[in-house]
Amino acid sequence: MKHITFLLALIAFCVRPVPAAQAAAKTAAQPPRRIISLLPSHTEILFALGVTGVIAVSNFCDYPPRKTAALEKAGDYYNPSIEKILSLKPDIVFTGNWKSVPASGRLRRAGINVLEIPDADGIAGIYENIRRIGAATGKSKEAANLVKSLTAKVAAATAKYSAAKPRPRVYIELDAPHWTAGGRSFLNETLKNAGGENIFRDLARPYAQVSWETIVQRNPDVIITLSAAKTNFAALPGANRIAAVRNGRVISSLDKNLLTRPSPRIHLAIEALGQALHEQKNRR
Amino acid sequence: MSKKTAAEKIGLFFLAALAVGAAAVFVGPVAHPDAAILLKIRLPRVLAGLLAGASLAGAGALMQGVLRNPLADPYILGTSSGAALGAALALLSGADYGSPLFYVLAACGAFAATAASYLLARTDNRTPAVNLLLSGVIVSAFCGALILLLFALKRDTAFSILIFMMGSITEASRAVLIGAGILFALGMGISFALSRQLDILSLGEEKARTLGVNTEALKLLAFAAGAFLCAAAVGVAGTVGFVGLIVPHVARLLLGPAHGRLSAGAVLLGAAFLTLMDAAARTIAAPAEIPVGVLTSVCGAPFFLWLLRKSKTEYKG
Repeated sequence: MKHITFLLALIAFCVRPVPAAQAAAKTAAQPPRRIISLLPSHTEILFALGVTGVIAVSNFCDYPPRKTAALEKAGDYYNPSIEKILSLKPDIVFTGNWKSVPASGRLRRAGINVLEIPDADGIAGIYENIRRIGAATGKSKEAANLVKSLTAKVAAATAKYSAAKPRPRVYIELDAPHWTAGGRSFLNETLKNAGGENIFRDLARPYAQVSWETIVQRNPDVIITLSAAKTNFAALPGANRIAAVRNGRVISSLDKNLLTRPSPRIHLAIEALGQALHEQKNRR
Repeated sequence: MSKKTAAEKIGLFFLAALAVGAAAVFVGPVAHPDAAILLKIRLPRVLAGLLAGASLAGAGALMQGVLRNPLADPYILGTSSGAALGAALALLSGADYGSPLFYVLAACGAFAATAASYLLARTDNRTPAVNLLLSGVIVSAFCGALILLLFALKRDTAFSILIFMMGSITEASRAVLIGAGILFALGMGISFALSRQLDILSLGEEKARTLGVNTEALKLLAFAAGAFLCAAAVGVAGTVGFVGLIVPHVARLLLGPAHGRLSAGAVLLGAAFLTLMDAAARTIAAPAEIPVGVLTSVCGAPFFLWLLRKSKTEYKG
């Protein structure tokens, strides 16, 4: 008998996501006033929508710089500070939903209203996330407007670069040594829109380590490195066979966050990448 | 097979290492490579694999001999964590991945950690094997904690360091290959010179001392040689696991416990094994790569168990 009561209690405990649903229903009528965002891309969307109730962000949230710098930091997406978040009494916490990260379960068990929105894996996903975050914060109209204007900006940036000829063949190094983005990555779409061709778009996985000899053989026109630890490409064996190395087109000056974050600044990412790829002035 | 003499077996291993090395030059993600790719990129990588595998197995044989412990591996004295810490510091100070400074700091880390373990274990002018194992574990854990601290403070290089720690043979420049080659020659030179004394040590430390072996000098020299070998391996391959633990045992099962031929066999088998694994690592999922350290563990463990069960002779650690 005791077992059954325990089991029932356990089931009741497990089925508890109801409060989250209730809270979501409540937000439709009354937008949340105390908001915490644990994902940099969500933070950017919140501020782009003009949401005023953001009280804390993650340690990685750095845009818009002035606003995020002034806010409380609530740990990060992998390891949120439950204590800090509880003490801030949020109405809602925006987070991602990676299967391997148990963070949102921990937050829910602490009685916090969590909205999981996966990090977008493409430009269409950014629009989708803007709409979802807008709906959850009472900014549906603003979200629709933002999506409309962003779509136009993305189209303009894409039109500017995507038809440029010749299309440079690009190798992207995300992390040294030779960790790159494949055809199913977010970066691949941005690169395509910026008028570049990813030499590893045939990779089965979105991100993978590749071998140097394949890079040499595929001979990229441009190398873009976003890694904090740099590879000295020119010093590697056979580097002089790569057009990018011969022509001094190894670019390490681009902003990794801008390029890899599915944010409402995606048009700027296309613009930055397009400019780097197509302006003939050599940049280091 | 048991009818062959040790010298014949070592000769066979030599041929095997040579054959694997030669064949591996023709295995890779680029299906029809031209001469330049073969000579400038594939060949240095195969050489790096041979060198790293030989160094790790040689160091493992040496450590197992001097510590008289079958679970000793080249990293037992905190060497790999020290190397990873050195590599992490190099990246944080802005050095390129694979630059000379990167390798130098990784090698220095390997030496420093080994020396720290040795000094920590030393009491009353003695360095008992148990103390060494314990201090090695502590130094290892401490370096590991420092690496995690660096990760936490500066996450953007964490991934690069992780790849290094998983073990991944990169295309080494000629200077790095030559440097690693010199370290390997030094380390193995010392190891072979110590053969007789290590054989006597296997009777027990007390007995070795009464037979006139200066066991403390022996340990110091062996650890120095082990650090040279580890630095050579870490420089070209990151911290590849398993090779240094398992290959010496395989050599012992096939050749018997005498240090000289055991080491010679281990060096050759280690070279062949790691080169083979690296050929697979760069080819199976091409154009993606699998960290070779993962493959060595996945393939090495079952093989070792099979060999252990198959050998009729009682296993002598």
